[in-house]
Order: sequence, then C-alpha cells, then structure tokens
Amino acid sequence: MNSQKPETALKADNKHENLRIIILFALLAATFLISFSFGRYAIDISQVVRILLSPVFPIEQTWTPQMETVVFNIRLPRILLACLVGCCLSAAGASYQGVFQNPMSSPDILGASSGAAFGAALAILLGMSSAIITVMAFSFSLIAVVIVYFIGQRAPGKRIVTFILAGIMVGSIFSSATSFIKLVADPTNQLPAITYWMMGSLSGTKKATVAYILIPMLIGLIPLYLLKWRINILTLGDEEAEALGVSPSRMRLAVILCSTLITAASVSVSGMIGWIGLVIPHLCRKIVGNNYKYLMPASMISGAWFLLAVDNLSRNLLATEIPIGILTSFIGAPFFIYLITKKEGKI
Amino acid sequence: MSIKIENLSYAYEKNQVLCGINTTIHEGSLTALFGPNGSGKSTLFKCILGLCKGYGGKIYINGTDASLLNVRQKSKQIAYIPQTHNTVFGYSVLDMVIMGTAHQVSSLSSPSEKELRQARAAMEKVGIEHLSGRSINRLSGGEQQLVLIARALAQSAKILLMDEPTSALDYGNQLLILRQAEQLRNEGYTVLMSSHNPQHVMNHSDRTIAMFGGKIVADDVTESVLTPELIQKLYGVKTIFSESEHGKSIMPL
Repeated sequence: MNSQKPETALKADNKHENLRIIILFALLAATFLISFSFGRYAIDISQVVRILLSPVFPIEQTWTPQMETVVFNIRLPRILLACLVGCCLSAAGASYQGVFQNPMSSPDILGASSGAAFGAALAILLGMSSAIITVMAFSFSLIAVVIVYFIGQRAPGKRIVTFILAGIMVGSIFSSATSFIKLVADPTNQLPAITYWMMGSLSGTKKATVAYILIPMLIGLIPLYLLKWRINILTLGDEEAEALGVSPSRMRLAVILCSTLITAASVSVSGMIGWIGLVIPHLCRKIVGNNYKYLMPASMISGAWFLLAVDNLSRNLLATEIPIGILTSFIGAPFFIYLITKKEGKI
Repeated sequence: MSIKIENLSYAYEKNQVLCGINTTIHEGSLTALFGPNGSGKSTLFKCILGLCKGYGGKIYINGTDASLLNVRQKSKQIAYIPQTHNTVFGYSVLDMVIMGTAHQVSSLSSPSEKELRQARAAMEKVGIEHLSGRSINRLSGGEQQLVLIARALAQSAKILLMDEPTSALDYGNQLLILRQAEQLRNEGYTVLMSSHNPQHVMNHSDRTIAMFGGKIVADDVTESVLTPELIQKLYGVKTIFSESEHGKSIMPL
C-alpha cells in the first residue's frame, strides 16, 4: 500500500511532461500548416491542406497550378528548412549547455559560427557559387571546432574550461580573418553579399538544399535524441559521471561531434542565426524541467516552432524581407531577459 | 564486498601524494579514513574509484584487480557519495536518484519502470520519498546529502565511499547522515567514510585508517587507533578523552 502511492505519483509526473511535449508538437504542427498561407501570394488554409494531401490521396483539384507551385516549390522547402535549422540550433544549444555544465552555452561556443562565417566570406570573395559557399561554410565550421577540440585536449587544466577558452580564441581568430576579408572585398557586390549572409536568411531555399543538408542534420540529431538521458549524467561533472558508470570523455566527444555537425549544417545553409540555441533550451527548462529526457525533445520541437514563426514574420512583416538573424536577436534577447528575471519554477 | 589495497602509490606529476598504502576495508564494516587536509584521503578515494590513472600497486575489489574493471563494471560494485552537490541544473530528487541506475541502462536508452522502482525503493530507504518532485537545489544540505546517499543505493553497489559527508552540514544533519551510514553498515553495506572530526570517528566507525603525509600511520579498530597522541600528531591539537556512561568524549585542551 505504502509503495503504490509514490509510483502513481511518478507516473503522473511523467505524464505531465509528456503532455507538455505533445502540446508543443501540436503548436508546431499548427504553425507549420498556417505558414503555407502567409506570403505575398496568400493561399487559403483549406486549399493548402488539399494541395499537401493531393500527392497521397485522390483529391479533386480546386486549386490553380500556381498555388501548387508556390506550396511545393517555394514554401515547403523554406518551411522545412526553418524547422530543421531551428530544431538543430536548439538541440545543439541544449547539448552544449549540458556538456559544458554551463547554462550560458550556445551552439557557437566552440567557434562553429565564426568558422562558418569565415568559410562563407572566403567563398564569396573568391566568387564561388552558392552551393560552394554552403560547402565552404560547413567545412570551415567543422575545422574551427576540430582546432578547438585539439587545443582543449592538449591544454593543461580543467577540460571544460580549456575547451571554452579555446573556443573563444579560435572564434576570435576566425572573426578577425572574416573582418579582413570584408576589408579587401569589392564594396559594391561582395561586401553586401557577405554582410547579408552573416545576417542569416532562409530566402531562396530549394528542395535540393533541404535534401542534402538533411543528411548531416539527421546524423547529428538522431544520436543526440538517443543519448538524451545520459547527458544528465555529464552535467554532474567527470568524477561523478565516472563513478556512476559513464565514461565522460567518450560521452562528451560523442555529444560534441553530433552538436557540431548539426550546428555546422544549420549555419552553412542559413547564415548566422543567433539566440535560438540559448533562449529555446532555457524556455524549455521552464516548461519541462532540466531532465534531458524531456528537455531534448522539447527543445527540438520548440526550436523548430520558434524559427518557423520568426521566419513567417521575416517574410511578411515588411514589403522587403527582413534577415532572420536580426529578428531572432530582436525577439530572443528581450525574451531571454524575461526568462532570467522571472521567478524560478515551471511555466 | 571488501577492498584490499597493496603497496599503493600515486604522484601528481612529481608530487608524491600516496606512498606504500597497504590496508583492507572489511566487508560489512564502517571504516573511517581520518587525517588532515593533504594527507591523501581524497586521492585514495579517487584511486579506488579509478579516477586516478597510472597508480602504482594493486587495488582488489572483492578479489578482482580494480584496474581490470571498466567504468561500468566498477560502478556496479562501488558507489561514491560526494561531499556536496554542485550541479548547475536543478534536477528533481527523483531525476537525481534515478541517475544511480545509469550503469544498468543501455547507452542509447532511458531508465525503464525497473529503474524507476529501484530509485523509489532507495528514496524510501533513506526516508526522502516525499521530496520526489522537489528541486535538489532547493533542499537543505542534509536533505541533499540524503539524496546523494539514495542515488548511491539506487546504484545497487555494496561498497559506499562517503567523502567527508558531514563537512558542510549543521549539527542535526551531521548526526542524521552518520546514523544513516551506521544503518547501512548494519544492513550489510561496506562503508568507507573520510572525516576530519575525531568525535564522529570515535562514535560511529568500527575501524579507522589514520593517514598523514600520504602514508597510513595507524590502521585498526577505532578504539585502539584513536588516541590523544594520534590526534596531536595529525592535527597538532592536544586533547583529552573522557569517558562516561554514554561513551567517550574528545575535548581539545
């Protein structure tokens, strides 16, 4: 009798968190559908549903071919990419916060964004195509983190501190190099292109972009999702983790590898989009608590929702599209101030 | 479950911290590791836990060479209860206790009902089941220490290493934790507990290993080891031992 009560309570507790994750998912699904309607070429939501279902179900065509083109060729790739990038940046932020036992960690803590910016700026300076710009951004993002990892491994002292310090230094070197490229770039074409890339944007997303970037994103996201509960153990520090039967160095390497891969993939296709990796995990901590078993899926879903919602604003708020990085900072920073000044406890 | 240490030595770079340690932690005993700061107590703990790589000598856990056990195998036999809790994220008590079962959960999955039951049983054992949903960062020092003990019990290891478990606690909580350690010894756990407090050692341990300068200077049943001369040697403090019907008291002069 005595033992029954707490078990029921524990199950009820889990149910509570699972329910919140389901609500977040429903919010994402609703925003996903509504996003197809928004834009200069407005499409009724019922038409959107019919168009989206038409490849699978035999539905009588009540829409124009232009509508179908807008939905499948223009909006679907962009909406999918917004969800993927938001999901990745948020998951990477949550993971880095756990690995570095630091709630202020974000996806660019190991210099991934600075490396990507340098790669993209260099490619633009050399007059490369947009596909090569993406590849260069992705490659230099990984190179920056590999350099940080090797410095962090070799430097004496507490591993986590050396990683963070190496991240700051390597990030700074790549930022300086990017500044130099901006200095020597052609001010009429190349400089605006570099500046615009660094502001972050999802405009002009193609189906092919989504298809090829999905591969590294899934390679990073799936292990992070599976390892989610074990990230809790890493947050206790190396000694406690090892005493609990978890090898901290191997686990940390796996999480850093996956987080870096999804950060590099995201930044290479969207440019610099800040704040998501910091703000969304914090918001989710308020919603589902600190346990990564719930925090990781909640962060993935909320990140996807947040970037999708902000992208809707970026393409509909003004006559010209606002770079999404500007909006995520405008919305993310004040929201973060609200979160840190709010009294502790779940939302 | 016992621990046997043979000729253990360890150095941080050129600084020799442990030298020629030979001892046995007997099964079902509460053994105190007693000595001043820098005497090597924490390093000895770390060597037993496998956190200090490249030590000299041998450590046998229940007859098996500890260096042959991997992290997961070792955690099935030894649980560690740190001095304080210092995670930046305020996990719930249940979340914290269930982490003790990590060694039996596969790397790519989360705890199941079995682990949940184990965690609940551990919480019941130390009387903290009512704190299940509370954030560990909002508990008192004593309650936090009980959570760490519950996590060690959820680990299902029969050897418990307690690193100065009372050092950050008030008087009432110190007694609570020491009585809990005695209770666990009575239930068959092998407890090795480091301490600076001679009165705690006197009242609560069966055996005492006294350390000074990285060496064992005394190792026997507590009554015969703990003397005014030993305390003066270890801490430079003169004491007198007085005896009453309630036991021995140690007073500084």
